[in-house]
Amino acid sequence: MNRPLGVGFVGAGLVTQAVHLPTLAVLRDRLRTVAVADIDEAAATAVAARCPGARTCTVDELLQDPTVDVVVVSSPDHLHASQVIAAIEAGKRGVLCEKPFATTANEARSIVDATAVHGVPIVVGAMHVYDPAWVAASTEWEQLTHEATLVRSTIYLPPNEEFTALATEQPPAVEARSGQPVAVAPPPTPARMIRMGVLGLATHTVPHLRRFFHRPPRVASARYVAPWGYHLVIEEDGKIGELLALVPGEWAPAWRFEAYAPSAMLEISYPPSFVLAGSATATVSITGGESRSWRSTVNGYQREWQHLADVIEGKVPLAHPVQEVADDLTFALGLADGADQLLESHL
Amino acid sequence: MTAALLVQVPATGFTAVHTATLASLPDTFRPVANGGAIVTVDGRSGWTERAALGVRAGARAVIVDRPEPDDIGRVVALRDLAKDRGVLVAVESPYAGSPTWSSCQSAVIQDASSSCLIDSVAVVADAEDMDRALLAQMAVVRPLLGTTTLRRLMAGAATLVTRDGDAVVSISVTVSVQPRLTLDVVSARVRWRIELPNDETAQPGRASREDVAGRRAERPIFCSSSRWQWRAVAARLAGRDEPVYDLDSLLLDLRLLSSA
Repeated sequence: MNRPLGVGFVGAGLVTQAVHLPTLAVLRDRLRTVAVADIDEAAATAVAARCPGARTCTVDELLQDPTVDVVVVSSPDHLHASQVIAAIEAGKRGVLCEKPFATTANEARSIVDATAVHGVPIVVGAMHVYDPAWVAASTEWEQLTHEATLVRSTIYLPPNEEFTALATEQPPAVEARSGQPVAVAPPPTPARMIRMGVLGLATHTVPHLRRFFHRPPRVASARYVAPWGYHLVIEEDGKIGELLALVPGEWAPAWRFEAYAPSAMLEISYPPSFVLAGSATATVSITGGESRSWRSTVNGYQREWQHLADVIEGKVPLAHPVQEVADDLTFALGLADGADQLLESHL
Repeated sequence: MTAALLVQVPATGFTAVHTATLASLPDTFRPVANGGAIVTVDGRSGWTERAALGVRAGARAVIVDRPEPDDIGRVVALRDLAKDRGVLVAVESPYAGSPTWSSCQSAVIQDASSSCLIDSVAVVADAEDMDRALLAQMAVVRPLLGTTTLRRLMAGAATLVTRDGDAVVSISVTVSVQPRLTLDVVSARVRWRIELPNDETAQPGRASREDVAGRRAERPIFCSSSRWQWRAVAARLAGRDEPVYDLDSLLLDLRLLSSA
């Protein structure tokens, strides 16, 4: 049996602790955390201490470490592209980058170019596209993507802390603990909030949308929803897409994706992130009342890690090549830009 | 025991759900070929003329089945005629007439006043029914909005209507399997999720309210909206003050829809 692939984390924050460490713990026969780098040395040390045999180091040291096969880029968004490229050029065998894997189209192109030279597989942490229920439903009912007239994403989530507290023992943020006043930045504009939502929450939905919208669609309407959320309407050749989100709320989570076609209907309900609650439940209903559902005990994060390990070990080709991921980003940026233009025109 | 109300059953256009409704209320209604106290009218094109004929023929009540949008002036004329003659014109609405909706409507309206998002999707089996479904959808959504105007953003294979106000409003109709209406009314504190099946069977709707204390679901009522509304019509004819979706309410919905 091969040794487990060594994993090095660039960034020891909440997503690393609440999402990736529990996932890797379940997959310890194939993947093992060996190094952790973070600008906050205390956080890096605390995370490494939970992983037997792992050490803390700088990012450069992590990239030079031959025991690190896979680099996880889980740092602030604006650092993603440069760190992904650094990992590729360091000769790593694989990269898992948290969403978004770049913040501009130019950054995305640079990653694509670097990958073309070095052939390193990259997986982006948009876990819903790897969710077994989505994969099964969308594969079996491919024609729905052409026939659908209305496609909808609705995301209603309680505060993340509710789920991170169930996934780890992460204490409150340092700023909140210290009791010291936190520097107050100017409040973001509605356009900025929507951009954050599209490149953040909606990143999970974009790969789904792109199965239905084959060109960058026109943004027909963009609304900011207080206290934090969005309502976007997109259109392509008479096909309507709606993206709704509102966070946080005091209710239970509801994370749905729906597609309506004259002959079939797709409904997917995802569990919240952070907790290992299994896959979504996906149901396809067809004319005559017949329906079929899929559900798995494995969630999208587990499946994307398994997939990356399979790709590195040469068992399967990459399911979502980096160009496809770059196209996802271009699509998302198009949504954000379209929303910007509409909101600015109403000022 | 009160005598059954005679229902004039048309030769065509009487739906299976109406047959089931009458069969389940045998002491209240009795179908006849001619001269009933209650006249049923198919809500497709020309329904205002057919309903007016029923009013003039001396019916005590006219039930219009799922009307499609008609000229507001013609509906006003029908309403005035019916009032002059003392005839009840009830509008059978697949969603607003749902017993599930009846049981939770007032609570939803109360929560909607502080909501930031109202989202409804109607699914119909046949593209020809989209306009009727959108009008029927208004009967549920309009009471949540108060006085407002709408904006028709898209029309075609799917229709989308929104509102330019404080709360985001999305009202869409599309063609697919499993005809139904869904409604989400969301604020940061409370979220309602309501699913009303199409009025073909006694399959119950589902309505639940979630807040920090948890989820409370309405008890399922296995009764079609048709049966629910016909019982209300019978109660009104018996002199009881039972709410009925009537032409005044329909006119509010028509006017709101025509603003889009």
